[in-house]
Amino acid sequence: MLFNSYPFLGLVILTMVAYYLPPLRDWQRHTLIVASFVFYAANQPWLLLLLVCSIAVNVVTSHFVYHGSPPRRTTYAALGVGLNLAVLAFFKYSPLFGKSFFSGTGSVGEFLVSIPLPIGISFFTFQGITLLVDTLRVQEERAEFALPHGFFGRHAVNTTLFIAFFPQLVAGPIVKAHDFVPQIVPKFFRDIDWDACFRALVTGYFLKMVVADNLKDHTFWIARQSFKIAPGTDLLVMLFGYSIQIFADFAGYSLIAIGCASLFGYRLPQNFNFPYISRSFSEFWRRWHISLSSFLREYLYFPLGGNRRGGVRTYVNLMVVMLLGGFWHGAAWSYMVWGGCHGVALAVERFCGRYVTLPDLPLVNALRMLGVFVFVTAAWLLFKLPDFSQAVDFARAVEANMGLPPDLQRCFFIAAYSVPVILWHLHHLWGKPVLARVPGLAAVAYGFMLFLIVTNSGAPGAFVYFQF
Amino acid sequence: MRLIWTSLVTTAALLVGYAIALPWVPAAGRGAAETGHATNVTRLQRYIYERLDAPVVIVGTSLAARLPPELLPADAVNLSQSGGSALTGLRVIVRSGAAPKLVLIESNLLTHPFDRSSVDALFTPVVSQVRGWAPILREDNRPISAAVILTAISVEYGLGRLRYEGWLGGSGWSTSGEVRPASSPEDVFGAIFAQIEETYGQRPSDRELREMTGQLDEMVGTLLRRGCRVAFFEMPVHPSLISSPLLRANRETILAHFSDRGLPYLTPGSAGGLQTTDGAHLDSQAAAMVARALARVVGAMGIVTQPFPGGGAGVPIPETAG
Repeated sequence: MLFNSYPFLGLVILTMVAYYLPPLRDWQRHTLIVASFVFYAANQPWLLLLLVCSIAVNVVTSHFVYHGSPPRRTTYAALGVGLNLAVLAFFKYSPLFGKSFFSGTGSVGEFLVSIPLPIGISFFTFQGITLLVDTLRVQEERAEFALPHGFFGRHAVNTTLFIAFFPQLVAGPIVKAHDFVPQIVPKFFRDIDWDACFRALVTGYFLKMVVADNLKDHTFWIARQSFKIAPGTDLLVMLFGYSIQIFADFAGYSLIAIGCASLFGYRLPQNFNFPYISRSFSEFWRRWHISLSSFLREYLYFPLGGNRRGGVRTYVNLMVVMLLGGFWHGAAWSYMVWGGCHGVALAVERFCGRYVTLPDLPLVNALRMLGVFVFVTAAWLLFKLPDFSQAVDFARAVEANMGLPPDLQRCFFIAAYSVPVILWHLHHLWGKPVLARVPGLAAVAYGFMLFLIVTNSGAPGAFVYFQF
Repeated sequence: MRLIWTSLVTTAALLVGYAIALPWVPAAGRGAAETGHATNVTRLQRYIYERLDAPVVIVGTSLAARLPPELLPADAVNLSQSGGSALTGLRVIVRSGAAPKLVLIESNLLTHPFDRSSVDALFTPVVSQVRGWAPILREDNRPISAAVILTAISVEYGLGRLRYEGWLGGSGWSTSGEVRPASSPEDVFGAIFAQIEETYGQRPSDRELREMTGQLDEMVGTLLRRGCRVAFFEMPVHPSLISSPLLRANRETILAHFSDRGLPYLTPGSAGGLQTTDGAHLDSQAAAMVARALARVVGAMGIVTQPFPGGGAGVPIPETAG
């Protein structure tokens, strides 16, 4: 079920009515769970079984991690994490292994290639992992926050809600157990921050429906054979447009998720913080898909030793995290190459940062931002063209076709739909939020976004990150 | 809550302002769809809001979408969908309740699934009615599309003048003879043709054919009950594709399934050679010839429409060459 669909609107309204009815207050968690299952099962009902199994594994293993004998807690946690990763590996990477290591025509190859990718599996398995690790930490470190253990039924309900909560079920933000579980308390209608919900939802839907959905109809040519004879200028503009599109698509989705969760009294973490004004690659990863970056940092980079085990080990850890982070994005080797590119960029930046300190001047900062943006945008090519040779062909075509006259209309459309994202970043960059200082201007801006949502939305398309 | 109310009032004011200003938007900026999908939606919306009484309706894919409207009967509507399915247009006719005198169904790619989301969006309760009396909400009146198209036209006109007056010295963005694309158009279209040959080389599964006939049964049955005449037609393709497994399976299934109801099935004849751009899609000259031939077929079937560009007896649709 897409966020930008009428069935979703109906689901949210019906769920809110049931959720806030005083006689049903004790059933708020159950209401959300039912809504989440309806949401997940809308397109492929049988995949709900997988979600339920995944939740069951996490309920049982986290219960034993909490209540098991101390020597066995780590074993239970490792078992749970292993099962989560096994489910993820089986469903997400089997087709890739089938294609890479089997002929694809034999029975094993055909079977592996035919395994479907359940939507959101990359996200809900990671949330299961945070639950297990956080539960283990609670017990080992005697941390202050308490997971809802004790009564198994309550634990099962809370864990189910934590993993299946529909605003963030299929594409994040990835929520950590220690952030979400303490929020599971009775909620009241009067506590809804309507203005915050409105801002998040309008901005999110605008980014998705007006910016991303329109850009996608102009940038999809990148993946067509005919790109080889397209003008070089068009190819560069389309790549730029894809960079804006993927941001608007995912940031839009995240904002809708945040706004929607707020309607039910839950705070989801910020997922994007103006990533295209980053002056370095490390800053970019603190601003882009923050919930994944912080998950990888907290649950992978730090356990590997982070930067505390010497220079070489730090670089190795960086590369491992970025390669696996890239591979998490998609079942194709090009995603790993993409992660590797970012890993190398981070490593080089870290190495150079030890010897060179750039002055904090506007021009230098602008050039740094431009450099990071150009690198990040070029790397998105591996997202759009998972076949590595096509990406190389694309680069060749840009160079060879530069003299061909551009399709002005296409370039103008991409520029027009990119303007809101650029303005949004610049508005933040200037540090003097005009919208906050001029009375009434924010309302006019949101009104204008709503006007464009109503009159100028693109063809509804699935969110780019659904495939991950 | 004040933010919300002020925003909603602003939105309402902008909508009213745009509705008032729309008639003054230059014609070049209105009705110009910016993408293939927009063109598809525009065709469907114009049909259900403005031309529901059209006596002849053509439904098809990007193959029939190339038929130039000016060569079809003046009151015929072409609902063919670029990159889509003929079943989408057919579904729209059925759901709209229309009863055209003749529905022509392109049969080449009937196993393609119909675009459920576009059809549902077209008939969403309330929204559909509002769109009916508020043209600003239709696909061909999108404000950014109009603004960008008008800007692009102005800039191209300006650049043309600058070139003409010598300011750009004949260079600028004009193509010099030395520019050689990374691949030749022949190579690229050769690769596309290979992809098309591969697609046409795969026979649809029995399940796909069953689903196709099931949907056709339901929709054609509804149209026949409304008093419509229905005919299938094949768009000409490259000779090497005419007997491809895909086309053969579609053709044989439809003939076997609908022959007892006496529905005509028009196949390309041998009246002359036609060119395609990639093996499947006709070039503009060939599309014009096929449009004229279809217009004559409509006339031969005794369907009275606005004046035909061609006239005369039914002529088989010519076959392709190269």
